[in-house]
Amino acid sequence: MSNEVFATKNEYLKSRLKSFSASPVVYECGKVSSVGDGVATVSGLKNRLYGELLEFDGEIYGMALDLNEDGVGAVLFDSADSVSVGDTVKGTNRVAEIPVGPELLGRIIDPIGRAIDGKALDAKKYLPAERPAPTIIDREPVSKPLETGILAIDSMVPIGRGQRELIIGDRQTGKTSIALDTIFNQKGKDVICVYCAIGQKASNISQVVDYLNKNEAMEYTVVVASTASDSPATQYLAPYCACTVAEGFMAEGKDVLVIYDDLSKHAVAYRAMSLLLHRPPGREAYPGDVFYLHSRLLERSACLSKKIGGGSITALPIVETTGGNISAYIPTNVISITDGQIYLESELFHSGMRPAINTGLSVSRVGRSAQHKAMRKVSGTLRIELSQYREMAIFTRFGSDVDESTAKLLRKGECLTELLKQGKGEPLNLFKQVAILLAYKLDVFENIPKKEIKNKADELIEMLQSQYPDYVKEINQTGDITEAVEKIFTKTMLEFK
Amino acid sequence: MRKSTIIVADNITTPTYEYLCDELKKKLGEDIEFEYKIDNSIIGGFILNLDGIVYDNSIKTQLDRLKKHIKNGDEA
Repeated sequence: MSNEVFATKNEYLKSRLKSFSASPVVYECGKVSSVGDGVATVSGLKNRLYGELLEFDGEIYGMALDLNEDGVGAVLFDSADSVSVGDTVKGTNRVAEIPVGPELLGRIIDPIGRAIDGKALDAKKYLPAERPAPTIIDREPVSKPLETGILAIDSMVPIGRGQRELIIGDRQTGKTSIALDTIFNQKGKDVICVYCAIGQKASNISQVVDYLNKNEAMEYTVVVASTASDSPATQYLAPYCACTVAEGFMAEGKDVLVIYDDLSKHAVAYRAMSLLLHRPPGREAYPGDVFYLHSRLLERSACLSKKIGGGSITALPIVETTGGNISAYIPTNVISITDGQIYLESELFHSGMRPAINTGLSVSRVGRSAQHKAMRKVSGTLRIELSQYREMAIFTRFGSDVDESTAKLLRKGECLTELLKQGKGEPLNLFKQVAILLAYKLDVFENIPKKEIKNKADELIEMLQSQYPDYVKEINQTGDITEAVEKIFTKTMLEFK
Repeated sequence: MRKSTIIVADNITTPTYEYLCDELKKKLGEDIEFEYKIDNSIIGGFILNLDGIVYDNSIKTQLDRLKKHIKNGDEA
């Protein structure tokens, strides 16, 4: 070590020693009176906060959730094996906190705030996991679209920035794929993404991270992960932590997209925790406050008013159903909390319709007003046409004699269904979506065999892009299509036909 | 009588221990009964536990705090 370095280190040590005061440490201390299944009862802690972090012997942490006169009931974040009866428990006077800020971008953290991707995390700011939702005064109506890049969603169930849109469906229907494609499509759109995995298989989480890395989406994404082997308390905390991370970015005026994958597992983790804490079970053994569990989480998504810096949190919670039953307890709860839902059906999925969105049961309650003008112009009657087609398709399965108008409706519906098919990782930008729908409106693909429709559409888009690059740019930038441009496109498309 | 425990290291002398008890009684009230425990891991000083509130003035805790203080650059 050179003398210079030694001198500065010496100075630093001297200054640190000078500023240190050896005052006694005072804290409240209790004893573990029983422990099991990730829950410990502690006697002697009388003045603790709700949700306060407790430190057990051996730097194991828990959270106080049941406050009684003579002690607290606490859930443990780490494995309960190393806590035994008689261990001392310290109050920390802190509630569960999580790091926030730009240092988190591209990182994977657990709900306790520790980085789990093997690198050190140097965060400057911490915020509590449970925070009050923005007040009414602080909010503004949703007015900017959040493009998912998925034609079926952007045209028929549009999502606005600050909206909460539920993605619901059976297992293996492509729920996570929609969420991941939405993250992928935010590239270069100045939207920060937070992906929260709740009680998922570690292999699934690693697949997600891999997908995001491959598509260079990790740069603007934070992953908050709790695996299936984590304690129920950790899983319970995960979405609140993800929301706090998002709020950290929102406070800086950024638009944030949060994915909660998925809230049915979250409810199950909370049920396990509540039953272990001896709280009375209700319907399906969920505790009485399971509605509040999700409503207080989703209420924290908001579109903030310009006066306090703008910024928004768009939430895409995911809920898994069994046997397509959306009227079960948790699905109905979350449907009533959110501003609409995207319903995925396994039947559609297996018939090759991907994304397998059931447009009849999917709605967006606020997104329509936030839709791009260009999209609004071309997507007006799409929903009705598609549901008419699906209804008619069921009828005509039995007989072959249909009149001319029905045959046309069927042909058009088939064509639309084909156009709405979209593979994973192939987001379409606004121009492409508008062009496809405009061409559909003009019946450009009327006499083309079903299998070639997609290729023909690609051909058309390529042609427009090479002929009118300025118009393409204009549509993508302004979000509107002028009458003149529409006329030119119409003419080109009809010639192409 | 209020019960309390004092944890000390075994290098403390009897007069010092008695002096400590007397001083604590003066500060906290005469009705305190002290039970002492020996724990050499605290190195020196004492830890008093009275009704669940802990006054930790041990050398070990101070050294831990000093370590954090030097490492983190803020008050531990």
